[in-house]
Amino acid sequence: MTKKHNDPAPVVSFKDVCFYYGSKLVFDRVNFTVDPTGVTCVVGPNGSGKTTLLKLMIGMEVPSRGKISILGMSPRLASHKVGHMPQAVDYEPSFPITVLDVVLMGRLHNFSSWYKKQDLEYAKDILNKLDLFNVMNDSFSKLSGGQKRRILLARALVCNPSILVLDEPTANLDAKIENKIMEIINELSSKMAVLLVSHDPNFVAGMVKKVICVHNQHVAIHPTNEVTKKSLFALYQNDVKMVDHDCSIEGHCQDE
Amino acid sequence: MSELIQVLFNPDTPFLLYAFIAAIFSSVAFGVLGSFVVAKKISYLAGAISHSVLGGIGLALYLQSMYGLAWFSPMFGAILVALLSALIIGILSLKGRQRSDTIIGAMWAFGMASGVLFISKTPGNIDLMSYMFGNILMISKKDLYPLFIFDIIIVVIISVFYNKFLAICFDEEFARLRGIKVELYYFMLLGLIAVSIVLLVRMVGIILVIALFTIPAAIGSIITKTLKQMIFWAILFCLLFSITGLSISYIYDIPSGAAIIMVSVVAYFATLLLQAIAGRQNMSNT
Repeated sequence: MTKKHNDPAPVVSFKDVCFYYGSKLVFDRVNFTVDPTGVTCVVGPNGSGKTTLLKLMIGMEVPSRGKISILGMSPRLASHKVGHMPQAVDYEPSFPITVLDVVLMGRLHNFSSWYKKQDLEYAKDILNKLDLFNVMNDSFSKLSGGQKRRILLARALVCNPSILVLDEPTANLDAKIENKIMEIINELSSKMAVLLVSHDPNFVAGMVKKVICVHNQHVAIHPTNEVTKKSLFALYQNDVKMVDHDCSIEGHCQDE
Repeated sequence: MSELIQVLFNPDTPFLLYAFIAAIFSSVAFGVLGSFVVAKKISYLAGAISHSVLGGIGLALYLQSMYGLAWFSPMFGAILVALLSALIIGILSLKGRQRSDTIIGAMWAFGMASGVLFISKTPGNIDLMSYMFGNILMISKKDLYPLFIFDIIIVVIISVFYNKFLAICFDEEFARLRGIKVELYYFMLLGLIAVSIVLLVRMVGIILVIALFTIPAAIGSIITKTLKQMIFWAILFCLLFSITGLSISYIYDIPSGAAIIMVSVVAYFATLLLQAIAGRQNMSNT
């Protein structure tokens, strides 16, 4: 894969990244880059390390070897330009917090303890765009699963990110809410790089520009048109051979 | 009741007035810090710190008596051990090691056991019960000053860093991602809890102090939508339970600490019952 001269500079770059969880090798010399716009989907079987890959990108995990560069900086330094939506938030169900307070957390940073007027206005604007303005003062814990996912998406967006990292944004949602979230992500992907984990082949086929396959400690990146539903199925069946370090997958993850 | 009010302002019985003032001051500390203890689900950490305090008190009494170390007062020993426990417990809980809860449980028991052992080897008659269950009526005028100063410290710190504490309690990982120094604020919170436990143990004792940290805040969490409102209601409930318990203890001549806790527990179960009834009514209406 030769890089064209006018290709935009990648916003995410993994160079020979190795990661151990305790003594277990999770990633072995991983190399890939992500473009400044478009949706990149991370796929792979359960326990293959998809969430860990996202955590490495956002600086919540540190690689054992190799270099990760986000917007030309270390993931920790770039964290203010990365919006992150976790799979779930482990909070006390009766935690007294309003939707607005949850979203405003996305504007928090270490140097200031107070929210400015513009933080509040920006949060309200995002809530409005995601059809959440009318529940702004409601208790977060009282809302439905779909609304909570959209609120976490709003929290990720409120820091005005250049990269959006979403861990299974449509998991356990009904088709209507799923479509709504997909629509929002599609719109956002024209302005920023969106990286997401998904198990949904329709999602991958629909709007995703590139697919990152995670399997057996290796990672390979492909344009979506090279990945078929059959190959994804094979990946989830652990029936894929990954060719080391050249960013390609042998056999099933190719056009058939 | 009118007799109680008369006694309250009787200069011959100042201890009762001091007890009521202590109830007011302690309600601020219990209400503010208790709300974070409940929201962050760290009541067992606060419990472990409070029980380890007996080890510090026992050590201080032993050293004073056996080696003449007058400067090593029970208050100094209690604060030293409470802060040390907070540090160890904080590190264990942040590391999230599989057996951290067992280690914290062992520290809880170790604090109690070492305290009892030191006190048993200290000559003289030491009233262990007053440390275990407290006695608000023993509070003197000079005990009120540190409580008042500590209230101001708590209110200032929590007001300045409120949004950061809120983020850490709700979603620690996200707060870390936003660049917040989670460990710093977490240890700050545990440190405040540790010092407040030492100051408040005089009131309800080591065993019961955790009840006043958690019960008013837990009731507050049921009836409110925000952490700020929860803090407000927790202070109010704590004040209400303390004054009611204190009044009952005076009228029926029963231990004040136990009376305050009984009032709190009855109120908590009554709130849970009302919440369940309201929930059923809502379900049948829909």
